[in-house]
Parts: sequence; C-alpha cells; structure tokens
Amino acid sequence: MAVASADWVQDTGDDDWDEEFDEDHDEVPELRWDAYKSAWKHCLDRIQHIVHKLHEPVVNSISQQIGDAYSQTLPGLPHSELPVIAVSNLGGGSTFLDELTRHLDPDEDDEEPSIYTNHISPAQCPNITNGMRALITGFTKRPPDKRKTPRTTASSSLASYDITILDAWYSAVRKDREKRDQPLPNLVVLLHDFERFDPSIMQDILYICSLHIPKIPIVFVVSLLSPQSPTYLHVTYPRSTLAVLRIRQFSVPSGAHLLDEIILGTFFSNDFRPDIILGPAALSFIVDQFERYDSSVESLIHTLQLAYLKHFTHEPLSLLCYTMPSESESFSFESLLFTRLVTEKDVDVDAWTRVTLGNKVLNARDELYESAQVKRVGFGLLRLVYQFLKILSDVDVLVAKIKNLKLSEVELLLSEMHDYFEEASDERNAIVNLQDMEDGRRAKSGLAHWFHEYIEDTAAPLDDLTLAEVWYTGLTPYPMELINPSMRSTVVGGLLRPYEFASPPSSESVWAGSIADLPDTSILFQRYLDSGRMINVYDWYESFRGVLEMQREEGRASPRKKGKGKAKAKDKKDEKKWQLECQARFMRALHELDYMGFLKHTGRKADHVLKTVFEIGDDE
Amino acid sequence: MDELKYLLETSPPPFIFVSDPVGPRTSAKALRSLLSSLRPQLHFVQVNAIACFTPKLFYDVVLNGLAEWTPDWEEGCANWPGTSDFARYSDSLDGFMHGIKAVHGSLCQDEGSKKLVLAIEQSERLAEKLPEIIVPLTRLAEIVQLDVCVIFLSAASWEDIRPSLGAAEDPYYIDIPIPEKDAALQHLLSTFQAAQSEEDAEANTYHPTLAPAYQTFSSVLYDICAPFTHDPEEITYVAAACWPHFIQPVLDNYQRQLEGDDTMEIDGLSFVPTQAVRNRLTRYFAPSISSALDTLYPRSTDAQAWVEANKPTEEALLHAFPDLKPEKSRNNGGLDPQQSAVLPKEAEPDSRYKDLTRMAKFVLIASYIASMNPAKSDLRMFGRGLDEKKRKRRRIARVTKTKSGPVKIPQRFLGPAVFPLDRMLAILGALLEDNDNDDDDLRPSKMNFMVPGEYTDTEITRVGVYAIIVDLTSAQLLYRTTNTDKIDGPPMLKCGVSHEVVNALAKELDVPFNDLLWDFT
Repeated sequence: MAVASADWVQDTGDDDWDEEFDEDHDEVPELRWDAYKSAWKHCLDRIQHIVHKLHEPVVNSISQQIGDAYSQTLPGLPHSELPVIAVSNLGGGSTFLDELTRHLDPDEDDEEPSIYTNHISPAQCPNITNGMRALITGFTKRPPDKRKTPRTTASSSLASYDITILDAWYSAVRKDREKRDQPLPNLVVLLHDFERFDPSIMQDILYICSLHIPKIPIVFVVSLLSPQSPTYLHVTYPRSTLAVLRIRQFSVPSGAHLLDEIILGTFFSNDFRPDIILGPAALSFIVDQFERYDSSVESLIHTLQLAYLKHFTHEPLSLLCYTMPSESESFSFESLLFTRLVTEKDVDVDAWTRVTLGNKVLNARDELYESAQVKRVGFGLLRLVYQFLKILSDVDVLVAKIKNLKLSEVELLLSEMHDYFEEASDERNAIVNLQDMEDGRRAKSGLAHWFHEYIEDTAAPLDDLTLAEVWYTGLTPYPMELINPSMRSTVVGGLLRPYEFASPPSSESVWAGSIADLPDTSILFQRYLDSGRMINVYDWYESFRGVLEMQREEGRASPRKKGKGKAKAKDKKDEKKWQLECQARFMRALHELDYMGFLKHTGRKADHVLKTVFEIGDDE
Repeated sequence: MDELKYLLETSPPPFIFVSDPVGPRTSAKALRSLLSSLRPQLHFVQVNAIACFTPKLFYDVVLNGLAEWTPDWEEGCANWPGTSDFARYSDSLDGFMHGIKAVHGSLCQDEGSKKLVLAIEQSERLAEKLPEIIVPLTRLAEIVQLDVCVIFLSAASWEDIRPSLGAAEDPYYIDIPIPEKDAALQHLLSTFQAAQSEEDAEANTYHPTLAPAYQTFSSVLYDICAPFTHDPEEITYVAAACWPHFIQPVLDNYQRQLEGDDTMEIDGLSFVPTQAVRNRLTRYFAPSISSALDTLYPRSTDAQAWVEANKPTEEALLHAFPDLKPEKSRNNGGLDPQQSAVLPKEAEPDSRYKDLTRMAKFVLIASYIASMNPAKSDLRMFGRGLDEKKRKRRRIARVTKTKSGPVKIPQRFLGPAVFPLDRMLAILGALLEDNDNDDDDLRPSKMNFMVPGEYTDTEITRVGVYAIIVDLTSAQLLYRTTNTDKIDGPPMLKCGVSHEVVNALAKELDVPFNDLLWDFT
C-alpha cells in the first residue's frame, strides 16, 4: 500500500505534497457534508412527494368540509352548530396539519385569503382568558382588508380576550369583501394535540364560539392522537358541549400502509433512483423502529436521515457520491482511493492519472446504479408474483407454485409480467416470446425456470461491486443507540468509561488507566459495584478517600520536595482542608448517584443505603 | 312568561329569578324575543354568563349592550365612549355603576325616561366565575337608584347560586313549568315556519302545504321523545333530523307525477299527503324516529350526519304509496320496519388500535395487567426460577373458606387501580421475555446479547419505551395520576383501555392474556 501510493506520488510529480496533505484534512469533511446534503435532499424530496400524495385525498375532503361548513347546513335545526373536524392522527406530529394549512391558507402575508387559519397549541391555553386571546389575536393580527389602515387605539377599548373584537374584525372583513363581491372567508382554528387541552377550558371556549356563529364562521380542526371511536371528544366532553358541535371525523393514513408506501416508493421504485442505496441492515432496522416504537412520518424521515448522515460521516470515500474532488484538493484521499481501486490484474498502474481514477469511479458508479436498477425491477417482479400467487415465501416455493398453475392463470400471469416490464421499460428481459408457446405444460415449466434464473441472477449482492461502499450501505449496522438508546446501559456505560463516552467515536483508544484517573462519581460508582446489597456509607467514604489519596500522591509527587521548616503547621492546616474537600467531593458524587436513582434510602439500618443496580452486563 | 311580560310592562321588581330546569336555551330565546317586543319602553341587554368570564368582559358587554353600541374595528374596538370624561367604566365595579348611570342618563336625554333590563343567561356559572359581583347585581337598582331590573335565568335554583351570609336580596321567583304537549307542538310548528323562509325551492321539505303532515309527524315525534326529554331544543333537533326522511316519499311521489304527466297542473296542493298516506308514513318511520333519538340525544352523531347515513330506501316510497307498484306492495314487500330503520354503523371498537406500534400494544397489555392484578400476585404470575424455562403453574387452589369481614370486590368491578411505572415496566419485561423473544428473530438490534434476559432488560429501558408511555398518556389510553413536576418517586399510572381492547391486542400479539389475569373468571 505504501509502495503503491509512493509510486503514484512520484508520477504526479508533486513536490510540495506535505502542504496539500494538510489542506485535505480541512476540505474533505466539508465535501462530504455537501455530498450528504444533496443526496439527502434528493431523497427527502421524494419522500415528501409520496407523503403529500398519501395525504392529498384527506386534505381535499377536509377542505371541502371546511368550505361547506356554513353553506350546507340542515334546515330546521334549533340552533346553528359549530363545525368541528376531528382528525385522528395516530402517528402524531404536525406534518399533516401543516400540509392542511398550506392547502387552505398558503401564504401568511396574503391579504385576501379564502380561509384564515390560526394554530393553537395546548401551551397557549392554560386558562380561558389566554385561550380566547390566542384564538382572537391569531386572526386579528392580519388586517381585515387590503388597506393597511393602522388600528387606532382608543382610551378605553375591549379586552383583548373579548370575542366581540373578532366580531368587529370580521364585520370589517365582510364589509370589505361585500363591497367587491368576493366570497366571505371562513375562519379555521387548528388545535394541535387536542387531548392536552384542559376539557373544562375548551368546553367554555367552544361554547362561547358557538354563541357567535354563524355571524363569525368559525371552524375548528382538532388533531387527536387517540384511536378511540367514537372520538375522544364524545368520550370526554359533556353533552351540553357536544350539543353545540357538529363533529366530523377524518383519519390520516398511518401505520404499515404508510411505511410501505414510503419505503417502497423511495428505495424500490422503478422510476426513482436514490443516490444512496440503503443496505439490508439499515432498512430492517428502520422498519423495525417504525413498527415497534414510533410510527409517525417525522420519525421515519428522521431515521432515514440518520442513516444517510451516518453513511457520509463514517465512510471516507462517500464524497465520491457525485464528483471527483478537483485537482488541487485531497491528495491523501486520492491515495486512499488508489489503493482501493488497484488490483493485481492492473499492470499499467504507473500510467494512472487522476483522470483515470475519475473515470474508474464514474464507471463503478454507473455499474452499481445499473445493477441496483436491475434489482429494483427484479424485486418489483417478485412482488408481482407474490401478489398474484397470494403467498409470501421462498423463491423455490414460488417456482413450484408456478408449475402448478392452470394454463389460464399462467397466461394471466404472463400478461401481467409483460405489462410490468413494459412499464419498467426493461427490454432486456424479453419474456414476451414465452407467450407464443402454445404448449401449456412447456410454457409453465419454461416460465418457472425463467423466473428462477431471473431471480437468482438479480439477487447477487451489491457489495461485491467495485467501490460499492460509496453508494451502498450494505451490512453496516444502523446506529440504533443514537436514536433509541437504552437509558440504564447508557448511564452505566458512561459511569464506567467516562473518557470513552465523551470522546468522538473515531478515536478508539481503550482506556486502561487506574481507577484514580476517573472523575469522582465514577470512582464512587466503581466502589458501589464492588459492594453487597447494602452499602455502609462510612466504609464507602473511606474507600473513596483512599482513591483520592492516590490521586493526590500522584498529583504532588514532584512539587512537594522543597520546604521543610514551617511545613509542619501548614501541613496540619492543609490536612484539615483536604479532609473537608474529600467529604465535599464524596457528598457531591453521592448525590449525583442518588439523583440518577442508584440509591434507595432505607430506615432499616443506620448509615446504610440500598443498591438498586446489581449486575452489569458487560463487565470489564 | 306571561307573568314576566306583565311584570315588565308594569313595574318589575328589581331582581327576578327565572328557573327553567328543562330547556334553559329555549327560555333564553323566548326571553330575548319578549324583551325585544317591549323595546320602546325599555332598554335591555341579555348576556351569557359563560361568555363573560372576567368582570371587565361582563361590564363591557352590559354597557355596550345597553347603549346599543357596536365596537368598530377601524376605531380600535373602542367601548361606548360615555358621556363625561370619566370613561373607564369597565375597570371596577364602581366604574360599572357609574357606567350604568351614564348610559341611563344618555338614554333618557334622547328618548325620555326608560327602564333598563339586564338579563343573564346560564347565571349558575356566575357563582363559579364571578362570585364577587352577584351581590351587587341583585341590589343593582338599590345601588344606582334607577329603574333597573335584573333577571337571572338559570337551570339551577337560586338556593344553589345564592352567596352565603345573606347579603343578596331575595329574588322574585318565576318557575317555568315543563312544557305541555301543545306548547311543544306549537314550538315545533314555529320552527317549521321559520325553516320555510330559509329555503325557496319549489318542492322543498318545508313547503307550507306540508304543514298538516308536519303536525301529524310532530305529534308522533313528541310521543316518542317525551318519555326521555322535554327540552324543546332537543325535540326540535331530532325533528330536524327525521323530517326530511319522513317527507321524502311524498316528495318523490310528487316528482314522479311530474315526470309522468307533463301536462298536469303544477300545483302546490297536488302533493299534500292524504291522511292514509300520513298514517302509513307514521307506521313506517316510527322505529327510525326512536333510533334517531337514541343516537342523537347523546350526540353520538349529529343530525346532518344522521340524515346522510340513514337515507330512506325505495321501500319507504312503496310503503307510503302502495298503489305505485301494486304487484309488489303488501303481500310481496315483506316490509319490516325494524329492518329498514337503518341503525348507524358502529365502528369496530378495536380496529383503530391496530395502527399502534408493537411496543405500544405491549405497554397497554402490561398496564392493564398492572391495573387489574394485585401487586402481590406479580411474583407468582411472572416469577420463574433460574433454571426452569417455563413459568410455574401459578394459580393455587382457591381458598374456599369465607373469611369474616367485608367481601373483597373483584378488581374488574372497581375499575383500574393505580400502579407505579416501575412495576409496569417489570411486567412489560416479563411479557417481552416470554412473547417477543423468539430465537429465530434476527432483528439487528438483538444480535449481540448473550446473557438470557439481557435483551429484554435493555429493551424496556430504551428511550422509545418511555416516549411511548408519554404518548399513550397524552392520548388518554393511560392516565397519569401524579403531578408531572414531581420528580421524587416513580410516576403513578392507571390503565385507560377496556378489557375487550386489551384482549384483542393480546390476541394479535399472541399473548396468553387470560392466563395472566389474577382473578379472571
């Protein structure tokens, strides 16, 4: 390796390569960061596009409801009802409401929106006064008409939480709109995390609003987290409140369906090519995380983003994702790349220039993308066969099943496959000619054979390709501990190996010093682990002080030589101070452990505390 | 109401208390129309005690209302400016009294001497929100020395509102009786007439010629609803939902006649249903009215949704007009009104829990078990020795001899009990160990665990688990009973889902749920 790079250095004839080497160190992470940003943006755009597609029907029907809220009411009702749209959004998160807002009221600065929106979160609503104020100012902060007339302030005006203000504001809006024959806007209040609002407050706010409809056409949109049916509203609010509401329920797509759409649409779709291909390790973790812990769109996007981020931080070659770094940059990087690319077969190594390298990288990329595309098409076909046969199992089983199909079914399957390939515009797999076969039995076995071969061919792993690690994450594990750590093991790990915990993961130096080098809390924790079920606090202190003494000895080994005469008296004073310091440090460390829940106080035995953590999984 | 009218026309007592436990909303409306009809002789304002949740709000609304002043946006939503320089009427009770005097003064200047009436709806809420102004209000006339009448309208009785110490003056009581059938029908008819003006289509459901049919309908409706509610609002609500269906066959029939015979005189009278038709409609729709009451009275759904969900079928038309298709009607129709009265489709109770995450389902099961089993039973339920793989058979033979003392009520009759978070996590760990720990499960996150139980132990302390607990708490599927800012000691929780739901979840996750309950019978 050293020889090869040295050769290459001579070839390029670079004399002052030392300097360049230093510059590289600054440039490379930045380039990787840029590459990460564009790769992630590409992927994120696609995901958002899919999510948007999924949400669109619900968004449309909700905005339809909002538009009709006051125009299509049942005649003969004793009083008009306050329209409430309950959106149950199991995954949580505000993506959906944001999208809805974008749809309803695209521009905050729009002076003439067809719908005014106002977002209220539970924190804004600790009591009815603040709640009403948030409700009113959310609308009135925008001018009611195009003229930017400043509001004159009167000496004695209405309280800011008085709904009459909204009344006055809306009549200004109405006057303005009617003058110009424009339709009147509805006012939409979006309540986030509705379960966290205090029902006794919301009940009054809803009632007050209901007194002012239809004069002010308010529509509430509440975002519910609970899957209850009938809704949380029906269960929690009293009949007197429900009587003034007209509740409509909608639910946002969530769960497995959402996951399927996003993952398949982003990484396994024939018409989208992600710049980074996630390997099985990362994907299976992401799916698992989604199913087990958090099924919101946001968290799915975050896990994917973390996978990208990890790829670009841990893989030094990943900056090649888009381009070769330009001439003057990155020497050390090129040498690294060189060693990766050169094989025994290459005889003309000496003649390589950076252009050759660049071409090789480009070739490798094209090859990888090509082969990934083939796999995507193959995977699509596999899914098609799954759907057709309605079983999920090994390829061998599928092949056997195909052999047992009826002739008419085979024809159907063939035509489906044909359509599929047509759509995927993949001409190389001309299975079309199979259709010509008249003999049913041969067609079946032929198809089964072909299918088997095809899947075998496409299923070769991507890892074997040249430079695959630049664009493919392969089997590198997902950094699960970053996103969903286990608290106890993290805390214990931190206490046991404090230095390792704080340093960046790249420097993998194993700490092998003595216990005296640790911080106080860690020292105390080490001693804690050595003890039995209950700890005598005094003994604990003594052993802790022993370690501190060791520290002190080490610390003053050299400067403590001089000074003899008056040292005695000073020493005594110092000793007393040192005692106090030890005690103080002990108490601090003890309280830290106590705060973290490692101790349990018990009155059963004087001066003893109870341990709460016993065996540690990974003893060193 | 007549009594009130008489009083107001002559010389009203300064403080009147109207109590209407049945339909406060209706009487509020009636009071408003009564006061408006007396308009030239008196000025009034009717406020709602719920809407006026601070004193300032109350004063503003009352003064602006009496002065008939509408705040304008352009002018910064200013209050009624008043007559003198002293313009801050709404800052205190004292200012308010001055305000009343000023309003009265200015009104008298314009139009001569006036009575003022101040009516407060839902006044039971005053005692809760603004208890300090009840006494001054009851003695308002006395304090301001004017001809002011204060009317409290409430569903509660004065005894429940009256401040202690007897400082408040005793009111003149008026009790609104439960409305009789005639009055209720009258009220329904008046809504019918009001709805006529709303629509102008030629053959609409509230056409004046349909009034006789509506009378029949409303009488039937009243008979069905009366045992459950007397509130005219509620009855009107149910009527609004049922009437469109009731009359739909008649309208359809009319439509058919129009189509069938173009030359026919289009006359409003031609589609007035006969008595026979009305009887048939009544018989057909009576079950659907009671089912409407069932769902609409508790507001499981609203009127409009009910109308959309229960569209009458062709059958109704045939039933009402058997001569349309005589061969199919009586003998062949097999009309079962019970069947045709479509009940609203109830959503499956647990279909929506399917989308919870796997861990959330485990947490719910664990918390249900923690809520229902006594803490003492945990070790026997979940404990296991070091070397045995399976749990011991837990349940020992029931102790049959009855002890003296109070009988222990099974937990499922007592509702969920409170449990500390730690206990639930421990149960969760046991559940995961037994049901989520297959050896052939090759999830990447569990590869590098060697010691048995270590994987589960790590799993239950993950941040994700805590996040799920918080999420479930905010979704009200778990209830947190301790305060959030208390950090000393574990938080106490309570399970918020029913046995059926948990059972379904357990079935889905393949957890032997019934075996894990202590006294499940």
